[in-house]
Amino acid sequence: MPLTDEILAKAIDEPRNESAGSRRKWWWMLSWVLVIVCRATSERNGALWRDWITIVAVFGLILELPIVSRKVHETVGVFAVYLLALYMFKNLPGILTWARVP
Amino acid sequence: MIFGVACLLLANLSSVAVSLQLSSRLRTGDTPSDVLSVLTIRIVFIALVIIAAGIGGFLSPSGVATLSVVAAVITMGLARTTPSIALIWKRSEWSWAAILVALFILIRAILQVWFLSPYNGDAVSYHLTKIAEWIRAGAFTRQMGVDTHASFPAGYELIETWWVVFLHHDVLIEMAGVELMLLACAGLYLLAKNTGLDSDWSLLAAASFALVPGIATQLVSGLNDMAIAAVGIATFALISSGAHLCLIVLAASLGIAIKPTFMGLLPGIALFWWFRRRQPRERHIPRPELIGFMVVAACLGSFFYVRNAIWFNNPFHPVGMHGHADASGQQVIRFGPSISPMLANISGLSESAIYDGTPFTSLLFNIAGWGPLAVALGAPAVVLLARQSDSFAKLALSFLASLLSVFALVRHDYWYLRFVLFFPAILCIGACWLVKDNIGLKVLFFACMGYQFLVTMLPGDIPPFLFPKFVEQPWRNRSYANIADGWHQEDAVAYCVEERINRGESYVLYKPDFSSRVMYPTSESASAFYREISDQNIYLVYWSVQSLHRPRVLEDCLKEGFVDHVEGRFLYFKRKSP
Repeated sequence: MPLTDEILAKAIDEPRNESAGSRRKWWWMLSWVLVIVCRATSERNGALWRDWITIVAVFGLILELPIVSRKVHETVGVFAVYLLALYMFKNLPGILTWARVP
Repeated sequence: MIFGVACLLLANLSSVAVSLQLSSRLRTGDTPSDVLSVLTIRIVFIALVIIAAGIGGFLSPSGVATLSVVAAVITMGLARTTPSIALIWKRSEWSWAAILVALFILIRAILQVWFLSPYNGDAVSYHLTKIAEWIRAGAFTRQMGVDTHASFPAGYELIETWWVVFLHHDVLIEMAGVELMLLACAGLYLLAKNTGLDSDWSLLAAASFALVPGIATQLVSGLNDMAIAAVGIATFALISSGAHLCLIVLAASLGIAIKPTFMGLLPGIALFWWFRRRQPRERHIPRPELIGFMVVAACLGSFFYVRNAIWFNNPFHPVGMHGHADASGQQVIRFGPSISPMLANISGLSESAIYDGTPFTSLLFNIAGWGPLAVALGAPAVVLLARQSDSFAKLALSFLASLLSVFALVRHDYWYLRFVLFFPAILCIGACWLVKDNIGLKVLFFACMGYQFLVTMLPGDIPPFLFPKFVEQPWRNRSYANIADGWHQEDAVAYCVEERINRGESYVLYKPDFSSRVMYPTSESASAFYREISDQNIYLVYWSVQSLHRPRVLEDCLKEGFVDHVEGRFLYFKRKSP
């Protein structure tokens, strides 16, 4: 069952109301502002946190696409698998080294 | 030993009775919230009993047990009722699978407590050294070792002292970590329930937080960062459940007593309080009881700061307005907020630390210690949920405010991320929301939990080959000293370190049953040094592994012929004839 508004309405203690549309608009605008600001201030070899904020903002924008909003789990799942692969790629060597110390 | 065990049981029963009684005045009727209240009050009670016993000079098994029983009798007498124990959950709320997962984690934690003895550098340098001095003296002492950090607030050490004082042995010292882990899990369970997760998934959210590598490895380390995270989560949870203000203040005061870093969480906690200000809080308690709770909170929260103000004229000693510098003059602790370390800390987290590229050491050296579940599943889920729910967005925003606030207060060093171990809590809740209705993501979730369970079987400080060396020792003598060539047969030893403000493993010299006296000589010349230790009838000197070279004064003693022989890091001095 996808994580839809209906489920969240039941799940979260404050029921969704008319402000939902307005909030979506805010998210939409905030995401674009973040993307533009982070890209505009990004420098070569600069801090990676701008890239992360960009990724999160773009992720937010993707979730707004109609085709994605019907497949939220799949979209987030793909992103989660990507993050997991990235994490394990960096984490596993350290763990293996630790486990094999003579 | 039997007497100690009896005192341990009696004191713990008394603490539970007092907690049940006092929390009954503040019950919400919601079982998870009431259980969290009981756990919070129990830890506060333990801390206060140890403070009273430490000041009064009866920090002994019988002293602490008597004080606990007297406190229980007085509390019951004043209330004129027996404590209600109507806090039992219905078993049917949870599936057997969720219960088994939680039980596995709890049993593993208890086994770790039993088989591991204090090993972490910071813990054996200043966290635990003061406990050893307290236990030996049967009271609080000004002698707390040579580490400059020894005077830091010691709220967590009070809980550790509780688990040490009855047996006069440190075999259960890490039970303080288990106690705080239970508080964190109860808080997380409540937070998860309040976001609308069902009981099963709330329990799994709590279990997944207990498996966050940073939390799991700190559990048995003797460090207090996990304790800060636990109290922070409990405070957020109490606010979310509409608990009485005095309970929230009590929890916050406990956090402040444990470590000043907790103050960094307060902006987020205050923000969350503001978000939930319209929440009904109809429970009324009489004014005298309200004042009583507030006085207790003020006493606990301010105790170590007032002590430092009296002893050192500085409540934050050794940290001054310009922070605190090490022997080389380099700043090691910051004081006050600043934007530049905050940005550096955010960069450090996002660029490398979040991937946990090195083993999960207790100090979280260069890593966040959040684990794959929080990073891969939790982070995208929180973005998703925050977009769709105002309530979740407010909770996430409050956690984020606390995270940024701590980042603004701490220096950008190799281990700053241990100060924000509360943050994965929101990621664990998000992960549970994300996966609970999708079989593919569920598989990923349990795979991550399994991985985290495996990689946190031992803290990264202890490689697997070292673990059998702990296990094969009889529990009475189980000590890191046996592994690090720090074990000795004398009943008194002098501890020497090259730079006096440097740290060192002095705690292990006290032995697990605190039977050895440890002296910290201050003389700089060989003859004065020899006189100083022999006046105390001490003829064994240990020099710390923190000293790159043997301290100069010991070299001088060797040249002067005061030393009989040398064995490893021990110098056996010639005995003076009486």
